[in-house]
Amino acid sequence: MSVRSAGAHGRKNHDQWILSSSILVALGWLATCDGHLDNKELARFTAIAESSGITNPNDIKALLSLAEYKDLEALDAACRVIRERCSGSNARLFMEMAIGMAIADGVLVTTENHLLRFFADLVGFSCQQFNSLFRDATGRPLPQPTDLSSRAYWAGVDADDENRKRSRQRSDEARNRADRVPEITEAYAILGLERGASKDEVKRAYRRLAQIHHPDRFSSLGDASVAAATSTFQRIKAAYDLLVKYA
Amino acid sequence: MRDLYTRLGVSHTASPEEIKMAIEKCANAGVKADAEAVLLNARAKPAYDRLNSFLGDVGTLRASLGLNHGAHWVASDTNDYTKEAASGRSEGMNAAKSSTPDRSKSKSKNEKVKPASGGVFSIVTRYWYPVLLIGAVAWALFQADWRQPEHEATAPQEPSFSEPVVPFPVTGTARYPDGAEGVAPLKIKTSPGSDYYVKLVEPPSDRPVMEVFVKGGTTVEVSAPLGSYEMRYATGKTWYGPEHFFGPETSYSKADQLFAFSRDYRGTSGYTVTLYTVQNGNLRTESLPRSQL
Repeated sequence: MSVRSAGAHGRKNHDQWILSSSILVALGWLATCDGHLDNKELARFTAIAESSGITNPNDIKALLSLAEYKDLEALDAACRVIRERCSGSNARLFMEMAIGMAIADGVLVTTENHLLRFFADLVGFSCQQFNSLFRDATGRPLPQPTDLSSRAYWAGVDADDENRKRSRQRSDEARNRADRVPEITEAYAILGLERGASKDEVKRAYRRLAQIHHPDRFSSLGDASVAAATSTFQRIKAAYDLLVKYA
Repeated sequence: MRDLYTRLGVSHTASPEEIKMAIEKCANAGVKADAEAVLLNARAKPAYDRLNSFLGDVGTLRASLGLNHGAHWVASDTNDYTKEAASGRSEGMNAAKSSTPDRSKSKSKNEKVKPASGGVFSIVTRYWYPVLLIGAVAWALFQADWRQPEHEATAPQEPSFSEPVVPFPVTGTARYPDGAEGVAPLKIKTSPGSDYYVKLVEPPSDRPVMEVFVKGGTTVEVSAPLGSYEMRYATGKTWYGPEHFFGPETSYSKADQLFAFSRDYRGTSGYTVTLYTVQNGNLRTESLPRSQL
């Protein structure tokens, strides 16, 4: 990871700061757009902010609250900076970094899906480009955003709940044995694999994702992006380590 | 995803009773069934509300950043959240058809816009593909207005003025006094607090070609006739009808640049005018005697 050199000054430094803080605002929006910010997400965001020189917890809170309380003018301005500065090869890097952050937990929720699509339009990615980038960066196809305004969706949710309740009762005695099941499921999801994928597949998926999300690639986007990629990379590595050990 | 509130004709903050009543009255069977399953479902509603307001924000930003025609927006069926007047939208789409080969060019132009280097809070110029929108920001006069001490704004009204208050006319509906055809996009953004009566006047004859009312805090998109016009406006808090405008506290002003609405092979050019104080704004206004509005 790169560390900001204390002697850096002048225009370049200022430009870097503007890009970094704009990307932080965008990442804060990604982190808060699903309506809640859990401790894991907060810790991750804090680490990213700190690496780009923002260490005061109040400043970090302020950055997050721009998205949380929908300061649209700030988001608008941040988006303009990102559009301006993330053209060409940087556009691709920015999208890869954002995708890595969005599927932090192996799940892409609907708001994140819409937000990634918004970013894709912002930096000028076509549908085809974005779909293939998403597939490369996650190992799975980009899902359609869920339509929460349809009765069919909610009927499905209720049915799912019923099933889950029933299966939970059945598997009560199996719980001890299944202690690690959620973690393992999440680990497969982070690597973009189905449960029960072979060791070989796990290894291949890890190599591919590690290459894409390797922090060194993101240095041209500034410290915040490098830190975001680092966090994504660490998660991918942890998932891999877990699967190698237990699966 | 649809905005069920808009489709029912209720506000996003409507009470359960209001929602129930609107659902009963709803003529569209599909919307009715969906609204029942979502808005009257205690579990579904919070999740839906969150996504609904999130998409509203995304729509606002897309409109502001010129991304209404983005590939990923149309594809995800989000028409309900696209923030453009219907007329503006069809205009944009027509023009898009005629200038598709220019897409890349116009995009690169877009990227050359100066970044908001003042930090995260300044907004200046905006382009709206394929229509070039020049952000124009009224600032001098409103700065003066803004800085007015509170007590002046709340000073008791002149006793001689006792005209009845009239309901403020419908926001965003343009009228064309001499029957001109609205063609070019004009977007007017206002800040909350004061309402606006805006009109376009053809110099030097002073013939009004378009007028529109804008409730403070809203953004409207109207279609302006082709040509070069002056923009004049009156603003105030209480509307007393077209005779008295906003009463004795009306402030009358005009923008000190001409607005040229034109159409050529690149599309139709229009403007976004922001009627509040913005730092680094690029439009100044001057105060006007009432007789010249």
